[in-house]
Amino acid sequence: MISLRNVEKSYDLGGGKVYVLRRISLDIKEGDFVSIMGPSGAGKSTLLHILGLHDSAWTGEFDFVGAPVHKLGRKERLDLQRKHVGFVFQSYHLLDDLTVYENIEVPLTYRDVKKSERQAIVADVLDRFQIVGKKDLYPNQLSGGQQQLVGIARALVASPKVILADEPTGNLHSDQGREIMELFKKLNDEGTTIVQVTHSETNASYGSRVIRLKDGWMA
Amino acid sequence: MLRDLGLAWRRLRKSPGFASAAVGALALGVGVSTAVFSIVDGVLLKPLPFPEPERLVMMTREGDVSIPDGKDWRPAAPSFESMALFLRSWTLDLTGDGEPVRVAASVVEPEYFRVLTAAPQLGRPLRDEDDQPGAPHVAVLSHAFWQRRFGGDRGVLGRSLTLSDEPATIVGVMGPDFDFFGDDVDLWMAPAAATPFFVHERGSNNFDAIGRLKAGVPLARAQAEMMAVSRALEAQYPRSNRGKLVVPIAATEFLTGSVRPVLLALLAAVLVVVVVSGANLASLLLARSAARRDEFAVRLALGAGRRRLLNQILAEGLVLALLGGGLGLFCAWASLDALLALAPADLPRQDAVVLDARVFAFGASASLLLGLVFSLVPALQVIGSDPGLFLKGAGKGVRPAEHRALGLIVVAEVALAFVLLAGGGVLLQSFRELSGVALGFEPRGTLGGELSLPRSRYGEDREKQTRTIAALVDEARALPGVTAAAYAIAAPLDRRGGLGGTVLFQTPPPARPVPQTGARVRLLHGDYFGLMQTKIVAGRNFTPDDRAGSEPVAIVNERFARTYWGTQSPLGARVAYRDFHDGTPFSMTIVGVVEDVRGITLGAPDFRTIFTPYEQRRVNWQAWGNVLVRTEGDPSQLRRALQEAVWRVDPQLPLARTYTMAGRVEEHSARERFSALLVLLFAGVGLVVAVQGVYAVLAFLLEERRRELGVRLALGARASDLARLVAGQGALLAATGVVLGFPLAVLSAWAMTEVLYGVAWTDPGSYAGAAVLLFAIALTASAIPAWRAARLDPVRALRLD
Ligand SMILES: Nc1ncnc2c1ncn2[C@@H]1O[C@H](COP(=O)(O)OP(=O)(O)OP(=O)(O)O)[C@@H](O)[C@H]1O
Ligand SMILES: [Mg+2]
Repeated sequence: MISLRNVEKSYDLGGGKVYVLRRISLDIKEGDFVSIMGPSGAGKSTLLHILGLHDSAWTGEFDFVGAPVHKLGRKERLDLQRKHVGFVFQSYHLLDDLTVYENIEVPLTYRDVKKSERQAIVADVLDRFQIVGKKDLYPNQLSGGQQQLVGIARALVASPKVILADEPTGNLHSDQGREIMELFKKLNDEGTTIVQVTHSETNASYGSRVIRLKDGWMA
Repeated sequence: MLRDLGLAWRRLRKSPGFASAAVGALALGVGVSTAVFSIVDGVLLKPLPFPEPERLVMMTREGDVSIPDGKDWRPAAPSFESMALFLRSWTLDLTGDGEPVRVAASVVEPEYFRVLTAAPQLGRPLRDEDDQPGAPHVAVLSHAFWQRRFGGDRGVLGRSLTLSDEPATIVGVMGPDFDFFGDDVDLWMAPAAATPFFVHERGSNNFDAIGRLKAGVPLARAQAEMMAVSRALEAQYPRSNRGKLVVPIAATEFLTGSVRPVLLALLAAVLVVVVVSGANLASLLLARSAARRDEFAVRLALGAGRRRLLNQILAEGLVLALLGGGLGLFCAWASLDALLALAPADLPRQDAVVLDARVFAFGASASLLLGLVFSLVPALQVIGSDPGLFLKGAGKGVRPAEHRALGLIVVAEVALAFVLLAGGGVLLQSFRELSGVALGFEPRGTLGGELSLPRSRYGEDREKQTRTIAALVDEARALPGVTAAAYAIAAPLDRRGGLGGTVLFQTPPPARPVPQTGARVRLLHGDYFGLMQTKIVAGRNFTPDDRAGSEPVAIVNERFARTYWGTQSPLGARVAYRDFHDGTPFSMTIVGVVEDVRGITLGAPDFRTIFTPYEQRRVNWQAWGNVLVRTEGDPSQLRRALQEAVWRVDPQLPLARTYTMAGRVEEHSARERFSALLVLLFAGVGLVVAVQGVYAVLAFLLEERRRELGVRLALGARASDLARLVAGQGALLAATGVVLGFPLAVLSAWAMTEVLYGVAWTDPGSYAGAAVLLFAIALTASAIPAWRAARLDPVRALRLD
C-alpha cells in the first residue's frame, strides 16, 4: 500500500546540504499498525509529512495506493491525500473558532459530501467517540485528552485508508494516552492502516511493527 | 521621549514595507485634506480683507437697485454708518494710448471707499465732489490694471485717459486686495462721470448696494429699516418699485452663498478622507502590534513598564505623523495649482487661496491627530492586556476583539469609499446631463465678440449706428473660413440677456387671465438663427426686407408662444413692447416662432423672448452687442481677424472680449464639472485607502491564519478552497461596507439635491456602479493574499507548532 525506495530529504543551509532523511526504503501493508521511533531530531515528523503527502521536496520513489507520488503534481498529490489520509497532530490543531461538531465536519466539506449525509456521518462519529454531549463546545472548553479525541474523530470521519499520527499522546497524561492507543488498536482491528510517531515503548507495543530512525537513517 | 523617537525611527527603518504603507496612508489623507481645506478656507472661512468685515452688508432684492432708490434709502436707514451703490462691471473703451481696449470699470459712489474702509496704495480714492454733475472725470485704477497697462509706474497720477471718448484723470491706485468680488475691475469711476444717464432713472435697476453697519448694531435692525423704506418707496413709486423688497445680508454670505453648499460638501468629503486614512493607519498599526505581540509579551514579562511600551508605540505614531504629514503637506503644495486650474473661473475669492500659516497649521494638526490618536488604538490593546495571556496566545489562535476591530475599520473604509463613489457618480451624472443638454443652438464653430458703439461718436445717430453694424457684419462675413455672420444684442448664455420690459397685447392672446407680461427683447442683424442653427418652428425668419421703415416684425420664442397662445399659433398677432426707458409702446407683428435655447444658464430654459430686427429698433441707447461668426475651422483662430475686421469699419472700436460659444457652454458647466471631479478625486483617494485597508487586513489575517490554513490543507482542503476562504473574507468586508454605507450615501446624495441637474439623488446607476466597483476592487485587493493562501506550503505552516 505504501512503498518507499531510496527516499531522501535535505535542506540547503548556508554551508551546504544537510540531510534529514537518508535512503529510506520501507513497505507498509494495508492493515499494518506501524510505530516510528527515534531520538529527537531523527527525522520522524519529516517522514510522516512525506507519508501524509504534505511534502514534495524530496527525492526517490514513493508509491501510495498504487500511485507514483514522485511523479505527481501538487494538485494530484493533494487529491490523493484527500482520498486516503487522515492526520492526527501532536498538538491537536483543532480550529478554535469552530465547535466540536464543526471541527469534525470540516474534512467532509472538502470531500463534496452532501449536508444531510454529513449530519449522519458526524452524528455517528460523535456517538462512537462518546462526545455527543460536547458537540457544541469550542476546543478551548475541552481538556487535552478530549481535544485529541476530537482530533482523531476528525482524522477518521472521512473513512481514510491510512491514519498518520505524529506523537498523538505527547501532550497527554498516561491514562489519557492509553485511551487513545486503545482507540487506535480498535480502528486498526476494523481495518484502518495506522502509522504513528511515538517516543513511548508502551505506545509502540500497541502496534505490530516498529521503524527506528536515527540521524535520518533507518536503523 | 527623544530617545523613544530615535528608537521608533530605527524600528520603522527595519520594516520598510509597513513604514511606507503607513506613511503613504497618512500622506494621502493629510495631502488631500490640506489642499481642499486651503480652498475652502480661502473662499469661505477667511474674513474679507477689510477692517471689521462682519459689519459689511449687501442689500439684496429682486433685480438690482437704481440710484434714486439708493439715495432714498440712506436717510431711512440709521443703522448704517455708510452705504454705497456700485455697478460691478461697466465697460468703457480706452483709446488714444496704444491699441484701443475695452476696460472694465466699476461704477461706484465715492462712499464705497468709506464703506470698505480701504485707503488707496497711491493717490486718493473718489471723493463726493467727483460725483457731482459736471465735475471733471476722475478714475482710480486697480492694482492689476496699473501693473498691466502702466507697468506699475508711480507717475500715473494726474495722467489723462480717453475713456469712451471722454477724458478722465487718474487720481489713485488701489491695493491688490481691493477688488474683492473677483470681477477683474480695471478702474473705479463715479456714476456722474461714467453712467450719468442712470443717475435719475428710478427704473434703471443696475446697481448693487453695500453698507457698513454702525458698531454693535444687529443685522435684524437694518433689515427692519430696509423693509420699511422699501414699502414706503413701493407706495410712492408703484410702477418701478412694486414688490422690490430689500433684504440686507452679510457680505461674505452674499459673495460665497452660491458656492457654499458645494464647498461645505467638499469639506465634509475631506473629513471623510481624513477619517478613512486614519482608520487605515490604525489597521496597519494594529496588524503590526499583533505581529509584534510576542515581542511585547516578552518585554512585559521581562518587567518593562506598560508606560514604556505605550511611549514606544506613541513615539512610532509621532514619527509616522511627522513623515506622513510632511509628505502630505508637500503633495498639497504641489497639487494646489492643478486643483485651482480645475476650478470654475467664477469661483469667488480664488486669490485668497494660498498655502499660508493657517493651512499649514491645519495640515500639521491633522497629521499629528491622525498619527497619535490612531496609534492609541493598538496601544490601548497592549495596555489593557495581561502578559500571561500574551505569552499563552503567542502565535496561536484568534483574538476576536482584535479581529473585530480590524474588520470594523475596513468595513468603515469601504462604507465611506462607497459614499464618496456613489456621490461622485451622481455628481458626474449631473454634470454629463448638463453638458449634454439640448441647447437649441450649435455652439461648435461659433466665435463671438462684444462691442459697444460709444455715445460720443455715435450718439443718437440711428443711421450711423445701423450702417456701422451692417458694415461690421459684412466685413466679418467676408473673413476667410467664415460661413455666416450676424449681430445680436445678447447672445446665449450671457446673464446680460437683452432688454427687459412689459408686453402689451394688441391682439388679445387666448390665455386668460394673461399671465405675467414681462419679456426680453433681443435685437438682431443678419441671419442670426441660421448662424446659431436655431430652428424656426413656425412662420419665417427675418429677411433683408425687414428694415427701418418697413412693417415692424417680431419672432418670438416657443416659451413666449406657449405662455400666451398655448397650442395655438401666435403668427400674425400684434404685440407691443414697452421698456422702462421709453414709455411709448412699440408695436410689431409676430411673423415667426423659434425653438427655445438655453439662454441664461444650461439648467433652465430662456426667458420669454421677442426678437426684432436691429434696423427696426425703437431704443437708441442700446449700443452694446455681439458680433458673431460661424466658421468651418477652429473659431478661436479667428479672434484677431475678427478684431481687425471691426477696425476696418471703425479703427477706434475695440472688441471687448471674444469668446467661442463652445467655451461659453463649457464655462457654464464648469462648477458642476469641478465638484464632480473633486468628489471623484476624493472617491479615488477613498478607494485607494479602502483597497490598502482590505489588503492590509487580509494579509494580516493570512499571517494569523497560516496554521489554520495548513491544518485545513492537511484535512483535505483544495488550494481553491483556501483562496476562496481568503477572498470570501474580502468580499464579506466589501459587502458589509456597502450595506452600511448605503444609507449614508443616499443621505448625502439627498443633501446635494439642490446642485443636481437632470439626475435624481436616487440615481440607481451611481449606487450600483459604486457597489460593483468596490466589489471588483476588494476582490482585486484580496487576490494577492488569496494567491498566497493557495500556494501555502502545508509543512511549513504546520511547523508553526
Ligand atoms: N526548515 C528546516 N530547515 C532546516 N532543517 C530543518 C528544517 N525543518 C526541520 N529541520 C531539521 O530536520 C531534522 C528532523 O526534524 P524532525 O522534525 O523530522 O525531527 P523529529 O524526529 O520529528 O524530532 P522530534 O522528536 O523532536 O519531533 C531536525 O534536525 C531539524 O532540525
Ligand atoms: Mg517531530
